[in-house]
Amino acid sequence: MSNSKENMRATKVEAIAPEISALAQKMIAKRQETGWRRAIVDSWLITGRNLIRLKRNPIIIVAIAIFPIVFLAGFWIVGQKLMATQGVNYIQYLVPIINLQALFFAGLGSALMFAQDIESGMMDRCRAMPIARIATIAGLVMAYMVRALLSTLILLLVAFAIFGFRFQGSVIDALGYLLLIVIFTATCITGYSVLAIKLRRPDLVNAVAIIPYTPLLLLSNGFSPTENFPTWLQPIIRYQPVSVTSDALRSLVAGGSNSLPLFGFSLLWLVGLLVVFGVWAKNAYKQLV
Amino acid sequence: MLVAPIVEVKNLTKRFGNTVVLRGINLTVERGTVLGVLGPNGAGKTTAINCLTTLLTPDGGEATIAGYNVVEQPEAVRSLIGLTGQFAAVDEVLTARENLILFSRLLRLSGGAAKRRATELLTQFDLLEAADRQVKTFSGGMRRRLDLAASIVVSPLVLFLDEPTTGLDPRSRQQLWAVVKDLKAQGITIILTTQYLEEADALADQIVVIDQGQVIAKGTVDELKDKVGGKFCELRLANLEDYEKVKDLLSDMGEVIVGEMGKEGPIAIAAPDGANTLTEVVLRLESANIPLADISLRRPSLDDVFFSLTGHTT
Amino acid sequence: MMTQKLAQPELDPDTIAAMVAARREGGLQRTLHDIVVVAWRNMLIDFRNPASLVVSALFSTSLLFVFTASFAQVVTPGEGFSGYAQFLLPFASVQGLMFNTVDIGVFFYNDLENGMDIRLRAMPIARLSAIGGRLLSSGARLLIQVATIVLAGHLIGFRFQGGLLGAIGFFLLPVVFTLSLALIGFYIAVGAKSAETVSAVLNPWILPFTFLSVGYVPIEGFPDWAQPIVTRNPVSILSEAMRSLASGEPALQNVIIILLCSLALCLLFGTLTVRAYQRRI
Ligand SMILES: Nc1ncnc2c1ncn2[C@@H]1O[C@H](COP(=O)(O)OP(=O)(O)O)[C@@H](O)[C@H]1O
Ligand SMILES: [Mg+2]
Repeated sequence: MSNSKENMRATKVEAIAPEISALAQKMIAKRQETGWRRAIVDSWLITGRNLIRLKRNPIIIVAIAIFPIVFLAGFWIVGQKLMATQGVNYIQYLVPIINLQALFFAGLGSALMFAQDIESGMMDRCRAMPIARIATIAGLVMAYMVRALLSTLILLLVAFAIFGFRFQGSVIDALGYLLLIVIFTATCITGYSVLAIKLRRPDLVNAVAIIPYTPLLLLSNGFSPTENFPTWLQPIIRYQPVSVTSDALRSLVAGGSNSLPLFGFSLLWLVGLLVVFGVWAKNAYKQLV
Repeated sequence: MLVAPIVEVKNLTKRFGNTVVLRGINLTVERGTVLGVLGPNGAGKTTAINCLTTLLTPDGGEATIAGYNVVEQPEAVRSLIGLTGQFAAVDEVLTARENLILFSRLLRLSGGAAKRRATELLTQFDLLEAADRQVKTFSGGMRRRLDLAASIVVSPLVLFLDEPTTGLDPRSRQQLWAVVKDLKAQGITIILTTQYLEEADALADQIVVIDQGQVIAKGTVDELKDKVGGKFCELRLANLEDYEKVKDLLSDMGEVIVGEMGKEGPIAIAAPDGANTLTEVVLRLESANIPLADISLRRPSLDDVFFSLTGHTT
Repeated sequence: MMTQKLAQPELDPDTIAAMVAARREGGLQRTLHDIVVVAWRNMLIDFRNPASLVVSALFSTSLLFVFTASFAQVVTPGEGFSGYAQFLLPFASVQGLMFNTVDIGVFFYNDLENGMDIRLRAMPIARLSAIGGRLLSSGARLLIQVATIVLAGHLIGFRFQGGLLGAIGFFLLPVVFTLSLALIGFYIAVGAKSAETVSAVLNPWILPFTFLSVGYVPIEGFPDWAQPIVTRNPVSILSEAMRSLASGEPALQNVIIILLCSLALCLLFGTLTVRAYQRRI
């Protein structure tokens, strides 16, 4: 794309009636879509719209609050006694993965909304408007980021008040925790956006989106320590991104000094995946129509 | 100085994989006029609109809006156009007002101005009573009007309407037509695609007929009608058994054309002399004692035009 | 208007009476026939667009694998994985089927909404063929899932040791129970305003029932306060019944309890659904 100054002049400007030409230039100057301020404003507007949509979804409270809490309670009741025999304080062990799961489901929900936007023609309408190219995607990511953080907050409060979960790390550890969950959410949403762009049909997305859940979340050391898995599976379990991230989150929760390498390893995984998914999503998005 | 048309499309081509969808479309639109793009399902209308609105990159050819090239200056083009796509793209769970405010804000109206503009549009499109209801409670016609309103939040230089009335009931269609005429009266240049011949007839100044990715005819409605020839005398027989007799009786006046409905439907004969031909037919049949159920003189319909151009009906 | 005369029979009262008689709606045979036809149509749609069916089946299978992998050493330390698979598989099937109740409720909601139901009701066919047909085709869907999970379980050491009768019971019992649960979904669907409502009402109930059961872990693994709930949870009883059926142990008592539960659910929600359904429109 040529730079914006050049864009102001029509290629065949001399042939167009002067008053139209002047009007056109005024319109173009007024609605300029490039520039970071435009990008922020447009993204913010689309985020607002998406948040309204989320708020009006009748099952939103189930999705962001009840679902994670039920999972937490369920695994806790089922696993607490048995894990104690292995010397694991299960509530401290469990909260990070339940948290990641809530973020993962936020990503899944975003794919559904994305596919709906593609199907309804909303995406096309926005693409044919002079608004920042990034705005539709950024608006989606930010709205679901809000949902994910809200879900995290509720989960941690309930885990603290009812299940006796305690964050033992420092303020720095807490910031590290926050950073990891933000990036994890961004990675999930971006990864799922590829699915939405490729499949386009909301019903199909709805049916298929659960597939990565099993290998990524359940086949991790989030619910049960790596040593409990069959030996040949253990290397995969240990080093896959969700395990690494829940290890990092657990060590940040526990405080102490050994969390930095885990944090770094997790960050590496998540940022790496984010970049891969981001490029993939961008290319797929270009071929959208 | 020679003034170029506001929309100019030259030899536009587009293929998806091995299917060639546009095989060199040429068209021009003068400022303030309505161009009707007429064609059956799958003709390539939406693809053409998508190329002109920067959603798709064409494979070949050139298209300009007010002199701005859609491929090289897509940003500029997007500032000049409005698009109402084939399916009403408005948010179901947002209210009509919220939808319009969102688009106003995205088009750089300030908060207050966006609210005022939304109210203005809601009034203009007869949606004020429903303004604060979620769009999912809207009828198809209301949705379409809201959709249209959203694409003229800021009056565009060229407005694209892709099959704006497909699937609407007759009354909603009439309402939408009134809106389009109103927009035209405001001086907005409009390109509208349709499968309905009477829609092009009612709204368009110029028509291009496309079929299988090609323009097969263009002109004003009247020019197209003339292409098919003059008037027709159309008659229905009271007794179908008389058909052969009538055919013989009128054989020297021209061939009797049997319509889509076969011999049971109306049959027609070219009427170069207008009313005189009709009188002649009536006289001949009366003297042969053949009763008529109905007889009339008519101009060719756009259906006739399409049929004669493509060999198939829409 | 001149129309050609169609080959119409003379409309004397006898012929009309014969027409009515030929298309009589009532009667058991007629009802069963209509239900099967509608169910067949539903299944065709499932097969033409199998994403949802395949994913449901794969999902419960994957849960089986993953929980076997991650919990076997926790629940049965030092023993092999196949023992835990034998323990877990019945429950994994039940859990997979229970997740389906939401889908089934939503399918039924869509039946009601997309005009299919109206069309069926306007035809001279059994009054309850929409409900019955949906139940029957859902039953087929569930059976396919149990079969998938049993086949997959075979790979990790699950074996039938209880003979043919036990195996048949193993397949049918969870399907019957889940279908009677699905009637709750039907009842909600009849009154719901959107498909989301159906899943919002049903979803939160499924997880507690599955967690609070002797599914993943035996009863000793639960905290003391939870144990009475867990033993009385129908999901536990069903899992136990299936375990016994698979291993050839006496299962009659648990089977009867589940059948009685199902019957109660059917009577209650069946009646409620039919009444609400007839009042609809
Ligand atoms: N993304 C696409 N990939 C492949 N073929 C397409 C795509 N979009 C449209 N087509 C094909 O191009 C032809 C024209 O489509 P379209 O422009 O939508 O027609 P119209 O709008 O006139 O009904 C159709 O045969 C359609 O199947
Ligand atoms: Mg089209």
